[in-house]
Amino acid sequence: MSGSADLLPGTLDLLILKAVSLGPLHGYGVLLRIEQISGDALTIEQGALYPALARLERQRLLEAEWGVSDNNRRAKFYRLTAAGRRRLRDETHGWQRLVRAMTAALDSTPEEG
Amino acid sequence: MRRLAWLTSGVANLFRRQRLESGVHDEIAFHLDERTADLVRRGLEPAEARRVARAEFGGVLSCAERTREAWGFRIIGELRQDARHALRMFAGSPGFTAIAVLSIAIGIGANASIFSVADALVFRPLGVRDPGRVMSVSLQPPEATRGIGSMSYPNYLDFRDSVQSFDGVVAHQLVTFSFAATRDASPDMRAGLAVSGNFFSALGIVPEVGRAFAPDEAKVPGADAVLILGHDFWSGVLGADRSIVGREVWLNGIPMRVIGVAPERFTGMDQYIRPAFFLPASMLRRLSQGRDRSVEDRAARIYDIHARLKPGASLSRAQNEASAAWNALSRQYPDVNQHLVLAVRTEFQARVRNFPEDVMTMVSLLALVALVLAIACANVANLLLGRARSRAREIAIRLALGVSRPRLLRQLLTESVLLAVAGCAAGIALATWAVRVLRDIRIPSDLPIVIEPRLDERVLIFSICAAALSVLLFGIAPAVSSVRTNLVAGLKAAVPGRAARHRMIGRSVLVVLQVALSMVLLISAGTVLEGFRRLLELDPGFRTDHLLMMAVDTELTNASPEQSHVFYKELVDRARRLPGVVSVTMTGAVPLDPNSQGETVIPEGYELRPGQRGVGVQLATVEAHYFSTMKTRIAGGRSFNDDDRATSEPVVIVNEEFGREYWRGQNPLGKRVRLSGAESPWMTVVGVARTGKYFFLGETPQPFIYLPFVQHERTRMSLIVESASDDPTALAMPIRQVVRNLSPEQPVYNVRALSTFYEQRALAIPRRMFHVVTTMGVAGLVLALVGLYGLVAYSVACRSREIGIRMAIGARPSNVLALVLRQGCTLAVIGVATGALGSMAATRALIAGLYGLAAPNRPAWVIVPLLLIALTLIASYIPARRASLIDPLQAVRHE
Repeated sequence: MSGSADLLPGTLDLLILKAVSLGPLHGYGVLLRIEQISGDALTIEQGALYPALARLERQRLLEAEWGVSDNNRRAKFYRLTAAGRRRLRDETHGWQRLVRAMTAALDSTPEEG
Repeated sequence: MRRLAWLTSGVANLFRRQRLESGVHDEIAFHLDERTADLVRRGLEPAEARRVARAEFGGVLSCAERTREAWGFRIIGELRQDARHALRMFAGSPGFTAIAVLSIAIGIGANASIFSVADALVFRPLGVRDPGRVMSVSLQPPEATRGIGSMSYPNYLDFRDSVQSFDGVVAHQLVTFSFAATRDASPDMRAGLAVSGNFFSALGIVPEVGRAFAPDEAKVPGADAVLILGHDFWSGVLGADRSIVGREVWLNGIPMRVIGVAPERFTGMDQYIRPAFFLPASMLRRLSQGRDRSVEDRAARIYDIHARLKPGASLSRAQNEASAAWNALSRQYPDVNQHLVLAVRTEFQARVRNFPEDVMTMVSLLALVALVLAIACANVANLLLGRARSRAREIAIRLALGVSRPRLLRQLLTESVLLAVAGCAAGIALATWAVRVLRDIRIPSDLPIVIEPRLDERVLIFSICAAALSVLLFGIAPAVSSVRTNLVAGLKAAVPGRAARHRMIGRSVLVVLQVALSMVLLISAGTVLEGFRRLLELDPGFRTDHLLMMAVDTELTNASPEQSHVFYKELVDRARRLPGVVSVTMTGAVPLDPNSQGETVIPEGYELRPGQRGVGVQLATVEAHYFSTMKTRIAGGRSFNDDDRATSEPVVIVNEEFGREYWRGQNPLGKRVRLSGAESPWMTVVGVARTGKYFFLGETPQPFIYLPFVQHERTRMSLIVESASDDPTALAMPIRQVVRNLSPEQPVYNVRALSTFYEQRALAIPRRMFHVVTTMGVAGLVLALVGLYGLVAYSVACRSREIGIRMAIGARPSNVLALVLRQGCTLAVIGVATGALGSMAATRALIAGLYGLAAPNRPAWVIVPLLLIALTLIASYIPARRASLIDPLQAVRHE
């Protein structure tokens, strides 16, 4: 995975919410989905995924249910709650504002005078 | 059934926890399987794929743990896990567990029991509504440093009406009456409180049965013959008979209607006396056939005042306002009210001021038991430190497996908390027993004086705080030090050099501290014990054998002064003629009886301070044969005799201390003393009696005077009869008969052998305290010795490796032993020296604080240091010898 970027702190939760917003997923599925939607550009520390999922579940942004995976194994599936959807929208806006601001700041050229 | 419910809920929890636990693991396992499958699909060998999947994932255990933590279930789960682990560990080392729990139990038990006594004597608030707002108002000459400081009733009424800071000001006075539950019952002497009409309402005391005084009652003198019973008296003596409310009882032969029963938690206005009844002060005059005019007499300063602060009013504001109100009264009635200062104090401040001996005794005992607890904690800390070392490997392994340090710390602390909980429970059980022993401290007298230590929620809270403190003391240091374990070194089970050195210094400091603390405790206990021992052997200045005492109060039959005079004269004459009687006398105050007499007197030639009306002094009104019957020695001059008559020259006998105090360096014989009342004549000192003990055995020498009964007749006297036989109580019946023949209605009380009275009044408490302190001392001794032995033995055992090396390079066992013993001896001596400094300070404080209850104990100063040094040596010797006997190679490898 050369060329991939490490996650900024605090962004894992946002990515998980985004990934799950596209449809219910089990833990491993969340990992694959994030890699997929980021075009393999983001590396997720796999060990960090499950504490984050548990945290989001506890905050009631996700809800979980045991179900059966594609290959007929028992797996825990996460889906977004209404609160999770709201949180995703807010954080996405916030993130986009931040990115715009950062981009503007970094693109500026020294003023001559 | 309850047990079953507990079991099923426990099982349910177990399942739930297991489900969560396996949930996390299932999820991770699923993840790893899927990942492996993906990697295989990409062309890896299955084994390789699994390895890569695991490596990518990172620590499975730590991930699982962090996940559980994120859920928030972790704490509960972990605590259960920790507790289980700890219990397993305790079960695995029962000896350690038993000693640790026992140590804490002794520490907590001693603290809880002494606290329960201190609570009963000093700390327990009044049993009224919101007792924190109820203040004690005292009125005293400015130079007074202790005492209650009472007010007269007219002043009380004016004061009450002129202050705004209080929600209610009440007055109360202890009174004694003959009490009969029915008209025909034979009356008993009972103590009660004469109170202002607002007493119950202002203090917020709601009667358990019946009602309190109505607002219009207790205003008109003699109009309201109503009475409220004390709960103890009602339930204990009257059989908790609810139907008594509404009936009449007889006080001094006058019917009073019972209108209520006080609630159980209200036991009176001081820690000692439980009133049998409460009556309006307005009834006193009628009950005494007009003699008691205290309600109208502005000079009769006999009412104690309590006042409830208004919400929001501060103590200092109340004090200012109350002082101003008093100053106005003082200007208005200068003849009786001047030179008195009014002070508003919290109940606690008032108790400290009124009973400094109690407070000092309790503070000293609490300090002593705190020391016991400190030593117990030191023991447990040492035990835990020792275990921490043998568990270093276990801890290192768990750290290596990814258990976080805070988690491990918590686990170790869980063990400490469990120890403390078990110790606390055992300690409370111990205290329950101790309190039962302490509880029956009852001071025999016609006023039932009861000190009631009890295990209530206050003591429980105190014990739990003590236990929590002890966890801090003994748990944290060992836990922190174990968790700091260097991982690699811990696994290799060898202690790196510098850390070992630090630990050795640490252990040496611990040994020194333990020796020093133990010494302070043991010497202090010895000092107190010696004080009590001397008290028990003390000569009180009067004989106690062959004497019968019997109290009589002619006021209880409302006898006139003439009738009373005849009664006492006849009583003494007829008693003298009884067979088996050697001599008969009377006194107004049996020595050591709490119902003592006191007066303000003016010693001739003694310079009073400006405004001082006289000096307060304890006294006894005695019949002429008192000194010969009681064998109280007259050191100079003469005793009273039959030539002293009501009409002859007024005479008085003072004790040596009185002479020393007021006529320093002069012969008291021939000097004169006058009672401070305006028309009192001067009395000539005709004799000087030896100073004895008058109030309690531990008192400092007190000035005391004796007045002749013939010149100062009073209604309440105690007859003292010397019997020819060894059992004076055989005379009780014939003398009761004499009283009955003289005055059929006359109650007698306090009938007992003087030796019994002395035993109960003077010796019972010191003896019991002697036992308490002995028990505490022995507990402290055992704890200290066990702890010291364990610590020293452990610290020597830690050096097995060093001893092995020394032997391997040629040291002989004797050299090694000498080295270890020398070092042990050095530590012990340093400890003893440190302890001696501490003990000296403690002894001085104890002797100053507990006059007469503590005395230097020389043998203890010899025995205790020797014992501590000897024990240190034995504790060093045994493990050192064991180490020196084993094969050096083994010893080195063992480490």
